[in-house]
Amino acid sequence: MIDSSLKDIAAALRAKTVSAVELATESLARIEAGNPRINAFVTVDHDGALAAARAADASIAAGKAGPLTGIPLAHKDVFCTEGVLTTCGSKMLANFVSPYDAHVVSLLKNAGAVMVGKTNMDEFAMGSSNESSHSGPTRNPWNTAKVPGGSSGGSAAAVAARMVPIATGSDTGGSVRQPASLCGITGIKPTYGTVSRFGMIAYASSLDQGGAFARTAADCAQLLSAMTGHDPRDSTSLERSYDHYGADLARPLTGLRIGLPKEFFAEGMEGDVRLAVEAALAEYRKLGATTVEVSLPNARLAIPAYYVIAPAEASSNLSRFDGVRYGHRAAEYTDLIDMYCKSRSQGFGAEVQRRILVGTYVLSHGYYDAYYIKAQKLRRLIAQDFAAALEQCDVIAGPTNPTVAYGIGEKSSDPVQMYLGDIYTVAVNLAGLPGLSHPAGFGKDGLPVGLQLIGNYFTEARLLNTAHQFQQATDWHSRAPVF
Amino acid sequence: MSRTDWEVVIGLEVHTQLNTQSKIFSSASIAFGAEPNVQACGVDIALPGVLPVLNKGAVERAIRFGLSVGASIAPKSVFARKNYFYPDLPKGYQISQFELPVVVGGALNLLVPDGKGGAYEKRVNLTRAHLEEDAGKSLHEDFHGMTGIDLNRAGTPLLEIVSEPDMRSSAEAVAYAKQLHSLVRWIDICDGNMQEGSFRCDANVSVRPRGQEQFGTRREIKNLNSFRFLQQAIDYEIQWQIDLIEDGGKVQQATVLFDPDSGETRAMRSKEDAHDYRYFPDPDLLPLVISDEWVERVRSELPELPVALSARFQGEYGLSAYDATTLTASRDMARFYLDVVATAGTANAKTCANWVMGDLAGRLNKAELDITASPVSAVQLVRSSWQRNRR
Repeated sequence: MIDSSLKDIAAALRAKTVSAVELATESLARIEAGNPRINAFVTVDHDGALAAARAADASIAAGKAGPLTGIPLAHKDVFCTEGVLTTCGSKMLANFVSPYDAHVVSLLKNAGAVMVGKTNMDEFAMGSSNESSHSGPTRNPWNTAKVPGGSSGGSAAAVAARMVPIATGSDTGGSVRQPASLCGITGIKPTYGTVSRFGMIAYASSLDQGGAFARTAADCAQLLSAMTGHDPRDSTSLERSYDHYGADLARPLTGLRIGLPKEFFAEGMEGDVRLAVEAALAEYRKLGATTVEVSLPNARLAIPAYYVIAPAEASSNLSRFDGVRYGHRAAEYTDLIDMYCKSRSQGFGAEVQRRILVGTYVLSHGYYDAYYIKAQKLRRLIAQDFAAALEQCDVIAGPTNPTVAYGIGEKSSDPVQMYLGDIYTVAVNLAGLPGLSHPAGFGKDGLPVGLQLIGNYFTEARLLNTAHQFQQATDWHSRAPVF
Repeated sequence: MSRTDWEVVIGLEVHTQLNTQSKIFSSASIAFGAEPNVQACGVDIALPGVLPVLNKGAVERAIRFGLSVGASIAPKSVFARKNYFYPDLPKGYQISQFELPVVVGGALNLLVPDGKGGAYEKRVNLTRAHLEEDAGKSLHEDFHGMTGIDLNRAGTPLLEIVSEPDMRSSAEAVAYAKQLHSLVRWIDICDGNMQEGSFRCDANVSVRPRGQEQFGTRREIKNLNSFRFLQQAIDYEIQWQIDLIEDGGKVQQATVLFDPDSGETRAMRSKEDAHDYRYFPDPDLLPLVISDEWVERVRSELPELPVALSARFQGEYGLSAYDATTLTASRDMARFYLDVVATAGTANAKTCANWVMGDLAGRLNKAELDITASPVSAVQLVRSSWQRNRR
């Protein structure tokens, strides 16, 4: 049953042809069977899931069910969950049990969704392959020798492997869209400020944004609608009216103008990815859309700007992990400085340490103007590029990732090579725009290719409508991996 | 060798604890004296994932202060992170304001006792005042080689008021601090309790040969929590610097602490081991935007300020500048005096000033009582003074 759409599952629950307990049990059984190979979950909350499912069945019986009541779901381990381990993929928090729920977690709890567990991720959401996790790498269900992408690789793999129908993620430079692409599912990162960051462990505050994974755009719309809304505990949370993102799904694409940034199609994209993307664009034209070339001249500066701003914020955000109040503390130390050094050197992995060092450097006296201020200026230019391009089109389309999933270990010794994989996604975070990735076919070795759609601020419904119409005409999203 | 005539240059940074109900970025209480760590919520102890939300009451108090010293209120100011590691700083950074503070400029006009029974006027300009959060407390005693951390104070709202280096003696510095102390209580933004640390002074002190334009190298005396210590510390520091230079030494920029037991200052850290705080705008907080309407509303709610009241006492009641200043030293004193005048009649305002400042103030001083604790009410004071005069 959990392979059905959310709409069908909800109808079955209401018709009592299936119970929430049965759904949770099905999900837990899939996890038990598949997780040893995929390592998508770091924590499975068996008892909590069954208790929540029983509560969901009770509210269904009482006629109080919402669209997500009784639906099994997984949270990325970046979200704090009361009473359940929240490790953020790090040894630093390997023993951390949060005393409170993240805003997103409580929203989904209140919506009746049943959390079955917490998903694996790159340590502190820093990475594009899920290889930097303290709990070991997650494997791509399409080929377990390949990475699932990152940093929300566990959530993407869990949905792709049909362990759960929906999962949450967070996206700082592509961490929802890129793994969605590599795992052959749909993922959306909304406009910055629409999903509360309260309780989502910070990597780079001005870029971090919660997002949603599902197999289809329609299900993403359902999940995202339950995640968004103003939260007074997050000062960057936007006070506005939040419509249901599924309201516009049925709208035909006739007349839709799709902008194709020439810089995204120029170089860097592998041939197999290009073929799939071109075919998907041809499909869009068949559906009545027109394509127009646009330009994002500063997009090539997005990677260097991102790798200054994100580490700068991270170096400060991660200072709280000092071994004093919670988390890892070295067993032996001689004085305060030694305790800090040992606790943090032992608690943080190589990639996190690298970004803390880079961030500390770019904020240092004498370098701040040359790096941090400069990067902020680039950020404004990049946002202006998007604003100009979006005057000529309704949505922007291109590849989500330049390649299909690569081998585990293949790029882990060359961080810059890995950073370049984010070339199409990071600019979207720098501008704060919404972005979506949907399955667009298959490339080399039968591995999935994703198409990225980028819209103007608050056009999530339009992006989801666009992807949904594509998915009505294609079946890439319904192909399932065998692992 | 002729003795050089030294000129002293002093600037003060005063941390005033704002009397809000809750902390500057969380809803935890700031009441003094609770058991350790019971007034520290998830935001204050910096749990993973928590975020700061600015307390409007703290901003309102900053505006009130800015308006009462004739400063400009920045329409847009920015909170920045000051990064350093210390166990009583849970986030590993303090949220403060760096490049764009909320209050810019302003001045205080003082009457400084000249030591010969008179007083002279002095204007001290303010550089800025900015909002920030306090750190927790490290307790090094009673823990046998370990340090105790109390985070009740972490996140307490502070307004740091920075003066220009306009003061030329410890007497001027003390007069400035006293007037500031009176003002923050007058406009009700700070309880002024110096024992509890609600009003703490850092003094930047340097000396230069009189006539020299360039400032000497300064040393900063940290955390002076009484006017007496402020005076003692500055006087000691001035003499120490003069002695050092006259002995052929050079003052090195440093942060120093005052030891009240020995009456001496000693260096805590030199400029070389100064931190690089890596300030940058806090991405968790939007720029603080203050509308003209907000400023005007706060202005309309301000009480009559001591300067204005003092001018009124001089103009309408014919009091001397000294008497008017003394009677407006605190809002309670001014209130009491106004009550006395109301009872005895405006025609007797000058006599009333003598009653309040003479007998009553003397006795209260002797009994170490504040005017609010006076056993004699305004009406009783008038009645007894009249009776005595009739006799």
